[in-house]
Amino acid sequence: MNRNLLIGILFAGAVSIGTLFSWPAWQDYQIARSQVKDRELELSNRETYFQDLRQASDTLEEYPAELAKVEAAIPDNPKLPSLYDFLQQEAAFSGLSLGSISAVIEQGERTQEVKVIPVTLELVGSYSAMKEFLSRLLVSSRFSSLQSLNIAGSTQPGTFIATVQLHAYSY
Amino acid sequence: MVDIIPKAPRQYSLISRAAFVLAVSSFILTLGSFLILWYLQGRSASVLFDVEERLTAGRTQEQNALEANVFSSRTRLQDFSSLLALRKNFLPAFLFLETTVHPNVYFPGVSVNAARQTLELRGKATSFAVLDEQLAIFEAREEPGAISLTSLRLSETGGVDFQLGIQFPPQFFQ
Repeated sequence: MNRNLLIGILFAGAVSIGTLFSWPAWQDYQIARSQVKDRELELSNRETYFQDLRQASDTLEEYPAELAKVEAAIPDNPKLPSLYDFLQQEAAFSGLSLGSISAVIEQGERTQEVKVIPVTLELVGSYSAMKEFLSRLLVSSRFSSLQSLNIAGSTQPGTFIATVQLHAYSY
Repeated sequence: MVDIIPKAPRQYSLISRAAFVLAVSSFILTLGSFLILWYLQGRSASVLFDVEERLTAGRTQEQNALEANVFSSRTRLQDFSSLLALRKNFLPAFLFLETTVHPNVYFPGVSVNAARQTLELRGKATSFAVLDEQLAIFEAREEPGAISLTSLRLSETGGVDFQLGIQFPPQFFQ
């Protein structure tokens, strides 16, 4: 075969393979590589997310007592009888007698949001007992926050009637 | 016809030889690159298939439970922390009264309101002068933001009946 013709055919073949096959293959490969990169990044992010969650969970497990306290402070449901019992106990330990107690639970969809339970208490006792009750509420296991307090003198000397409005909380 | 005298091999010029080598090299290079790219594309497709499979497999039950547990604890801690920050302590109001009450003044009614940060007092003083002194004692203190005498009248049993509102700054009840 004529050498020059062969050279021409080889060059033409190289150009044809390059333009018709190699260049599109290169473009397809770039697209595939970018897709792989994106999906791998997505997978890696998911793995990192669960790794972080596992670390957070491990950290939380180091404080079981503290978590239990927080859980008791804001329980999963209102637990009204135990709330009443708790307030009665706190009043009794402070030297007060519980005249009346009432609470309202808002009925609604069960969500992760904190529910407020407004409670009204009527307590009878001495001034120092009332102060003791207020300090006990600040360090008690069930979380509550005082909203208002009205103290008025009673018929018995040295004793007062206190109307306490507070908020307890649950999920 | 048989060639009896062998022909001398044809001599090519340097340019012709170089062009031939270049043409062969280019051909092999483009063909080779195509084959390599074809192989790499296949490998990428296999990796992509594997990654997609792992992604579509979704979360395990253990992962869902872990997420729920961590998020629940986080919400609880955040709620507790924000409620704790908003909680009011009424004891400073009593301490304030204990240290400022005039010996000749008696308070039969005391109201503390956390939202308004007020202390409302219903009091009895033996005289107007005593009430004046009581007000002066309150005003001399740093804690109250504002003091207002809302009611004042002569008592049927003698002395003076009055009502007083004391406004405190928010940090007073923290």
